[in-house]
Amino acid sequence: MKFLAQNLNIFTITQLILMILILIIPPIIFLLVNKQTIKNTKVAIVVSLSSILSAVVYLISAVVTQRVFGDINDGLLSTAFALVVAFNWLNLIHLLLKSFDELKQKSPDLDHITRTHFSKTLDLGIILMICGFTFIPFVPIGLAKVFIIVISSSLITIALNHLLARRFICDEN
Amino acid sequence: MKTKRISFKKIGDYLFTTIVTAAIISSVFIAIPRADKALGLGDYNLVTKDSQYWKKTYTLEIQLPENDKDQKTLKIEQTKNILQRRLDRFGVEVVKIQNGSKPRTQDAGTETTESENIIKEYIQITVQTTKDQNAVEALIYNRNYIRIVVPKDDIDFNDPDNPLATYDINNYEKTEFTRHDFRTIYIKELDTTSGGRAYFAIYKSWPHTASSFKKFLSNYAGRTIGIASDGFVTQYTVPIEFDQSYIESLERSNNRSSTSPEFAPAVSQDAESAKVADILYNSGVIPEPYSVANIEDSTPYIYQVDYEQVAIALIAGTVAILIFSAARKEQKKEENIRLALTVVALFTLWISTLKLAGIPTDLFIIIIEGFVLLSLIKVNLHSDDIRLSFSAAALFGIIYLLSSGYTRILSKDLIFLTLGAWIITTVIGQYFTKMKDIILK
Repeated sequence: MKFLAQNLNIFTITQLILMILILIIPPIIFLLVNKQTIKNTKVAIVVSLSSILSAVVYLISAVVTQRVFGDINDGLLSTAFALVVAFNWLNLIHLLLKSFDELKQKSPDLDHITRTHFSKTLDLGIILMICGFTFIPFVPIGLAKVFIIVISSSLITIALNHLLARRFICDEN
Repeated sequence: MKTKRISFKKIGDYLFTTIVTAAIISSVFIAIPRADKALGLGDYNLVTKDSQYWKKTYTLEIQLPENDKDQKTLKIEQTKNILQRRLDRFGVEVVKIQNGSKPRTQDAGTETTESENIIKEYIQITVQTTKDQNAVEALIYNRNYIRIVVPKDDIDFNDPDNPLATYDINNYEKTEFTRHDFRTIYIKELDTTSGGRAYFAIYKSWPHTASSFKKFLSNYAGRTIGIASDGFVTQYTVPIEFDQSYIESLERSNNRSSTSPEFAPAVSQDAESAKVADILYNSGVIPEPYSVANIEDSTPYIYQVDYEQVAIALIAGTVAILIFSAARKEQKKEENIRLALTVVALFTLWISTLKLAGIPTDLFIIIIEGFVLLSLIKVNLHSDDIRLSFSAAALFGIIYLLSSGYTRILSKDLIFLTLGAWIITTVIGQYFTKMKDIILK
């Protein structure tokens, strides 16, 4: 914890603990909701892994970006983390809402949820990349580092998420 | 002779499309950089915060008892956490608190004398902010350890040779009541006895200390006590309503139980000082006393972005998203036009509002907000599903509550922008349908 706090300039251990809680709580909520409604273990695993993965990838990309491009302005590093968490949470919320919609149908098809959701996730990933790379030439290097962290963390999470889901679908087929 | 019936629906549609068209066109002209000068419409450029920033590094010297070595790390960590919380709650943009070392200026001089029973530890606080410097320094300089005191019997507070006697802590006896005995100190604006308004600090006791504090106030009803903080005392006359025998006689005469009075000394008359007092009272108790050992001025580090760059980045991002959207085979042409109109309306109305209202902004925050909105607009916000927009707004609300500094500013703006995106998506949807009807007819 101390190593992470020093390396990321995030300062206090309390803040790091808070960050970890932020990342653990949504998958727990999702697992509980899933247990009551969708009852699809595979979807739940993908979602839970996605949340934890986003944090791990964020930490790695933040440390690597700082090592390669130098320190990032204090305060904006936690902004980058908040954005990675926000993109991931929104993705989970999207999946939850679409799952509920599907369950309302007469003959719900869980694979349909997984397929449409991950096509949307892939869209988000591509848009993040397009948007980030069109912004980077027009912003100062300090801000570009923030974009690099957000894009790389979100993209890797989305890519892993997507691969995992595809694997599940292929297995079933 | 036949008379044509007036169709109010048609008139409404024309009116609606005209207003929306006018709003979009005018907001585009307001939002474009340098449009004000080119059109000779006066100066309504974006107000940036750049010139308001200041940056300072404060070195605090904490004095810890030597026999407290085991607790040293914990107490330093607590002090850092409380100072961080204070500055975060005040909205300071950048705060960096780390363990420091003895300032070099003190090595040569004789400012500090080492005591055998005291260990000195140092904390370095760097702040970069646009907030009022006096208020920020009040949050850093004051330990604000509250203790209730009572005047010593032999002190004459009316002595003209000692006008500061009332403020001197040496003229008071300590009581057992400190900040630890109060659950919270609630700051509220109330009427004063002179007819004005002022902010009062309402002390709420813990259940286990409530009766002893009540008894103490009853004993001192009608007399003066003091509230000591950092060696400085503010006098307070305990109202007669606290007297237990007075309360009982009142209850007997009214034949019903009376509400217990509140211990509420006045704090300040202006809102800013009251906010600082609220933060000082309710952000935790700093375990040991400290002093400011050194202050260093430095140049604030701000990302230098000009509005032209922001505009080009937003336009480039919008064009890229639209090309991507158009390239998707399943996407209808109409959908793409609607998306383009929504993005243009959202960005130009947002920038126009900032310009016309003269709201000071950080341009690099606008760039990040633009990036987030463009990333979310196609998948999440540009949808008829209201739940997605409200979920995004709620999510940024949670981040706002949990975060500080730039993240807090960003998430606050994004709450409004995501809700705005939903309103604009709905309006543009209606506008597009009505326009299509009018043009095709």
